[in-house]
Amino acid sequence: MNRAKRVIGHSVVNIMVIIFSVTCIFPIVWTLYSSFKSKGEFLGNIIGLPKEPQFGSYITAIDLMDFGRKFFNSAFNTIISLLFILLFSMVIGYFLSRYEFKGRAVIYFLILFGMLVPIHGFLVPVYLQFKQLNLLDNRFTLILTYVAFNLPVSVFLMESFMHSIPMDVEEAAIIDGANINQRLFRVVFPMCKPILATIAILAFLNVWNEFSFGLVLINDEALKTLPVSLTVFKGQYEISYPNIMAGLMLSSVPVIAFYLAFSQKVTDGMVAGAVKG
Amino acid sequence: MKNRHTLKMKQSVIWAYIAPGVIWYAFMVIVPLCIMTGMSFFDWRSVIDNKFIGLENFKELMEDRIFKTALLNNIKIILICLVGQVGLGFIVSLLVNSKVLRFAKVHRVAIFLPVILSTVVVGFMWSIVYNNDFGIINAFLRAVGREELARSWLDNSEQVVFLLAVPLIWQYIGYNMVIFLAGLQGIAAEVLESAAIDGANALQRARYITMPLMKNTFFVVIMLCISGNMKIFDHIYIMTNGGPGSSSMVLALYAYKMSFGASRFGYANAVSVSILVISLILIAGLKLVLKEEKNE
Repeated sequence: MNRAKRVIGHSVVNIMVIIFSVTCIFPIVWTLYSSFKSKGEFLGNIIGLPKEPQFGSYITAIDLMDFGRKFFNSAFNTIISLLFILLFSMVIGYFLSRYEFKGRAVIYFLILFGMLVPIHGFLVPVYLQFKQLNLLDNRFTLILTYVAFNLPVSVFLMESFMHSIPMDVEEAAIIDGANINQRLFRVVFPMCKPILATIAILAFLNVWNEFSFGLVLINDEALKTLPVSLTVFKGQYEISYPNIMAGLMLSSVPVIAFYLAFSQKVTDGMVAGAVKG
Repeated sequence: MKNRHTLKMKQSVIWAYIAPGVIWYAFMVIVPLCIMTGMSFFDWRSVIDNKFIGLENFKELMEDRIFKTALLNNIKIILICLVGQVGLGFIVSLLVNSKVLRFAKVHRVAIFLPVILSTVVVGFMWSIVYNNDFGIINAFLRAVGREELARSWLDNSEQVVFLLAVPLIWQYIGYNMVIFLAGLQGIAAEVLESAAIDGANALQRARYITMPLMKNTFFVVIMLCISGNMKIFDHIYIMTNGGPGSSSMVLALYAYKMSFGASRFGYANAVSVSILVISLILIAGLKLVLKEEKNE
C-alpha cells in the first residue's frame, strides 16, 4: 500500500515536470517546424508537422531582413563590446579589489547605482545626448552604450572574484620585478579566466539580444542589428507566417547553439550575475 | 570584504589604468541621468523650441490618464509575475530538485531555454501564438471542438495585460528556477531529512524549512522581478504596441511614444524620471521590509 502510494507520488512529480518542460519548449519547437511549411500548408494545418519540409521561407526571410548584413552588424557589435567589457572589468575590478586610492568609494557607488537603476529607462536621454553630439547612426554608436551598460555587473563579478584569490602570486611577481602590465596580463589574467568566461557569457547574451537601443539609436538600414531587423515583419502578419518564423529562428540560432553547447556554464553565469549583482 | 593588506602603487598610475573605463561609463550613465533630470523641467520639443517650465511636466503627469494606466499596468505586471515567476518558479525548482525526478538535467536545460532568446523573438512568437486565425491556441481549441472559445486574444482590452504577462512568465521562469536551485543547494540535506523523520510532509518542509532559509534568494528574485518589469518595453512594443487603445501601455513605452511619436522630449524625460524614482522606491521598500523581518 505504502509502496503503491510512493510510486504514484513519484509518477506525479515526473509527469508534472514533463508537462512543464514541454510547455517551455513547445512554442519554440512549433516555430521551428512551422518555418519549414509553405504558406499554404501552414494555413491548412497549423498544429501538425510539415509534410513536405521546404526552405522557401528562409530564402524570403533572409532577403527581407537583409540577414547577412544584419548578422555581421550584430556580430561586430558583440565582439567589439565584449573585448572592451572584458578589458575594463578586469582592470577596474582588479584595482578596486587590490588597491586603496582616491575616488575608490565614488567608483563603488557608481557601480552599485548602475546595478540598481533600470538603465534601459535611459532610452530617451541617451537618444537626445547622441543627437546633440552627432553620435547617432555610427558604426560604434551601440558599442558605446552596450559596453557601459554591461560594466556594473561585470566589474562587480571581477572584484568579488579577486577577493577569493590570494595575493601571494602577485607579491612574488612584484619581487621578481614584474611591472604592472606584466602582472595584469601575465599573472592576473590567467587566474581570472573562469570569471572572465562568466562575464563574457552574460555580456554576449545581453548584447546579441539587445533591442530597444538598437531600435532608437540606429536609423541607417546598413547599421541595424539582427533583433531590430525582425521589425520588418511587424504588421506583415497577413503576408506569411512561416516567413516570420524563419526569421525568428535565423536570429535565434546563434544563441540557441551557444546555449546547447555550454548550457551549464550559461546557467551558472546567469545565476552568478543575479545573485552577486 | 576587506583585504588584510593592500598593494601599493602611485595614485596617478592607478587612475591612468581605470580612467578609460570610468570615463566611458560616466559618459553613458551620469550624463544621460543629468540630461534626463534637467530636461524634465523643460517643455522641450526641439533644439530651438524649448522653455523652462519648472514642475509643469510632473503636474501634467499626475493628471495624465494614459500615464496612470501605464503605471498601473507596470504594477499589475509586477504582481502577476510575482505569482508566476517567483511563486511558480519556486515550486518548479522544488520539483526539479526532487530526488525522484528522472532526467533532471534535461528538464533544467529545457525550462531555461526561453531565457536566452531575444525579447523580440519572444514577442513575435507569442503574438503568433495568440493570433486569431493562425495562432496555436485557437488551432487547439478548434481541434478539440471548442471553436466558440477561439478569438483574437490580444484584442480584448480587459485581459490584454494579463495575456502579455504570460510570455514574460514563460520566458523568465527558468531564470528564477536556476537561481532557486542554486539557493536550494545551500540547504543542508540533514536538516530536511531530520524534519522528514519528525513527520513533516513535503509541503510543510517547503514552507517551514526551505522558505525561511532561502530568504536572501527570494529577495534577489523579487528584486529582479520588480526592476525587470518596471522597464519592460520590448515584448509589449512587438505584441500590442500599447493597444488596443492604450489599455496595455507601460511606462517605458509611453516615454518612447512621447518622444519619438509626439516629439515631446521634455515630457518623455519626466516619464523616464518617474520610472527611475518609482523603481528605486520599490526596491528601497523591499529592502526595508526584509530588514524588519530579520530584526524580528
